[in-house]
Amino acid sequence: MNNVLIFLLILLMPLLSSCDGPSQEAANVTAQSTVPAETQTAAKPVASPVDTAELEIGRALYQDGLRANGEPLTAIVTGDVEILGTQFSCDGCHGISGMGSKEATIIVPIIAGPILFAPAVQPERVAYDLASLATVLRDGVTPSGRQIGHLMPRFRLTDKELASLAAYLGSLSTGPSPGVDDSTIRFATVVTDNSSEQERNAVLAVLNRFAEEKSRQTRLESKRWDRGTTPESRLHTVHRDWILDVWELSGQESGWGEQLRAYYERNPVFAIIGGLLPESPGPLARFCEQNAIPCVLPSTRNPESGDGDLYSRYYSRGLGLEADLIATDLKELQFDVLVQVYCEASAARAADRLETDLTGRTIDTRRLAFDCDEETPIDQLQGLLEEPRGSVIVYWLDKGHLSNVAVPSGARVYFSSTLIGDEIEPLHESVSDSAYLVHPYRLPGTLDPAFRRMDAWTRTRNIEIRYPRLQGEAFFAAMLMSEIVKHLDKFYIREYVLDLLGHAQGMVLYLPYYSRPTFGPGQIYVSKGGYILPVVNGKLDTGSSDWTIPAY
Amino acid sequence: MRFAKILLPVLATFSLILAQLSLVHAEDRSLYYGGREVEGVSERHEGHEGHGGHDHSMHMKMMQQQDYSVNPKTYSIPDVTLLDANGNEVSMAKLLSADRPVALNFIFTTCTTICPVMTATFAKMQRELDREQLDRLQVISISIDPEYDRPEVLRSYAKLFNADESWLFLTGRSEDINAVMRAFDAYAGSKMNHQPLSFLRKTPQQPWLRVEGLASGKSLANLVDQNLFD
Repeated sequence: MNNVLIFLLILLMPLLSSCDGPSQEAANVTAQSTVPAETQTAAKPVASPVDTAELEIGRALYQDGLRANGEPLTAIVTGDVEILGTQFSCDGCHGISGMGSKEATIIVPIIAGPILFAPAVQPERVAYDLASLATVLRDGVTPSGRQIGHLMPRFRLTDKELASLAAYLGSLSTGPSPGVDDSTIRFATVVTDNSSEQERNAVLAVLNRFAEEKSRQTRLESKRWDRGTTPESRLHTVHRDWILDVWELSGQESGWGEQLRAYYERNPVFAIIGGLLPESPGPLARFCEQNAIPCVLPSTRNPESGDGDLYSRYYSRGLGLEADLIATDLKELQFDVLVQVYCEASAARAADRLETDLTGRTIDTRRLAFDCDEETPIDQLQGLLEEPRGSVIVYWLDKGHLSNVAVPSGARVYFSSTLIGDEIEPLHESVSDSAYLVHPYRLPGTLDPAFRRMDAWTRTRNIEIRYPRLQGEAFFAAMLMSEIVKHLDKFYIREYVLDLLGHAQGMVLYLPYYSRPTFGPGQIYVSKGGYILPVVNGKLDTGSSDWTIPAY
Repeated sequence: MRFAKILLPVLATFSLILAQLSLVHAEDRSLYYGGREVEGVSERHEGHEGHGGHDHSMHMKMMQQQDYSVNPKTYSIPDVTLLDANGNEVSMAKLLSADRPVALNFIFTTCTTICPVMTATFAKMQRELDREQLDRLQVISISIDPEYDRPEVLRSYAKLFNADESWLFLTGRSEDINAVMRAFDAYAGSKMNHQPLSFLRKTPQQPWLRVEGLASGKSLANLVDQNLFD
């Protein structure tokens, strides 16, 4: 009886499998070749000798959709829709890395040169050359004569442009980027000496433990019996031990770049995770751009991102976002005097930003800056507040410096949640009826499942949570990187990290403290808005404020 | 016999999976061909396999054919207030109760795969319509990433695609956008599961036509012409 059944099943199988649905198409378009682990490291760009001018033309075609004369590339998509390169460039779908992408049911294949210009094994495909690349880009026909999906544009490219594009694709690597070898992947986290030692220790306790556990979880994959019989079918080693270096920066900000370079030259890292740069991540951001290193979610009050920067990601715009939230709140309000009080450089920058936001309005802007080691100079403050009625006061201060400041009745007062830190309440006992906390985080008192998760993680490891927000940020940065590394599969490429960050939307569930986080291709900041919470008798009124995303 | 005992469950599982696959595919077909009263649907292109050869006229023909399905659906859209690209409030109830045909899709500006294509396709569809149709048809694109796509972001996006003034790009509060997406059965949990969907409707009293897949601009225009105008 059994034998008959088996016979029937065997008979049926070809019938059933012949009903190939649309998935067949996707699977073939993917045409991801299997590169054996051994050859990965040896994979070198096809285009050599490298002509930098040609590569730049290719890069502009690929990333910006622009021809050498600055005009946008043109193409036809979904049969009859004319599109421009500025609306839709190669890196959009295939990634800056050329590693392809997935969105819903659409799978975009890898087109990095070492794979594109080599024969693929599963499924079988001949190596692309210039002629077949021309055919597939212009007509959408593969070397085997198959018509590729109509989401892939049919481009109008000159022969010269094709050559440049091919050279650029050839320059895209399949990795590994520096910091990775067969058994380890090296990261760094950057802390500056203008953070408190307790904060540093708290954050590093989380990061070090995370890295240590990653390494302990080796699944002995590389020692498994028979990892395939042919080089092509052999499994690549997914797991690599984590090494986490701590790069401490000291002294003046102007010297940080040099210190970063020295650390990097000693031990190149694949990416930089988390970190504590409360005052300014600027030198780190520039270092990461120069060396093409992903700089993932450092803790800072003052994120910086230049135009066209690719490599840094931040939780939010920090104090700059707070300034914009205040400006939004003041939009409809008439007032004569703006007084901003601060001691830190990051707060000075926020004060600048608020004044810029209010440009064009007739407001008497005043400032009180003092040394953070001193107490808030109350006498001088009172001098600035001769007539509190009609004034707005922004206290860009931490809790210690707030303890002796007055909250004059008649003035509208703002406090900074970022500077106050974790223990917000009781905020200020003597607060008048128009005091507000600028809060670009989750509403206090609401359930934060991601924090609970992290809390459980730390408690079971005897790590004390002293700075929930900073430690939560560190934990998420490490967890995000761990998830990204998993998705890198065998392609340890830094630009692929950036591409995957753009698609990390699913990870937002695990982010504590922040509200409404979103990831997206090219998006630098994870959380984009905040609340202005009324302070009543030192307590926050969380029920009456709307989430606001400032338009500045 | 012992060998068979091991092999049988394996084969049975395997064939079950295959049977499942073919079932899904069959449903897929009936779904498509089930759209009876829908006019102007070009023939579904049944995958590219099996055509073989290098006949370029065949390829050109195939390029014109699209993988998409059209189905009439009734949706009840919540009355939420969204924001247009100029920051003005727009009541969805008011917008959709106007006695004019509507073409609607969901996009986000940092979406790199299907959104630019969907937006360009809507633009192409508009160009395919005649003047009167263009004036009558209310085109709406709703951002599913409202945290990032603020009105000013939508404004530059509209400009990038040379969108007609009458084309509304909407954003708003995440809760409201999600409610609208759910109402259109377009909510996929994450914007990264964003499917290519377009929705067409003649009058507030009539059902929506749900277009799943990437239709060409001309096919969409045909659907609009034949179903949304007399």
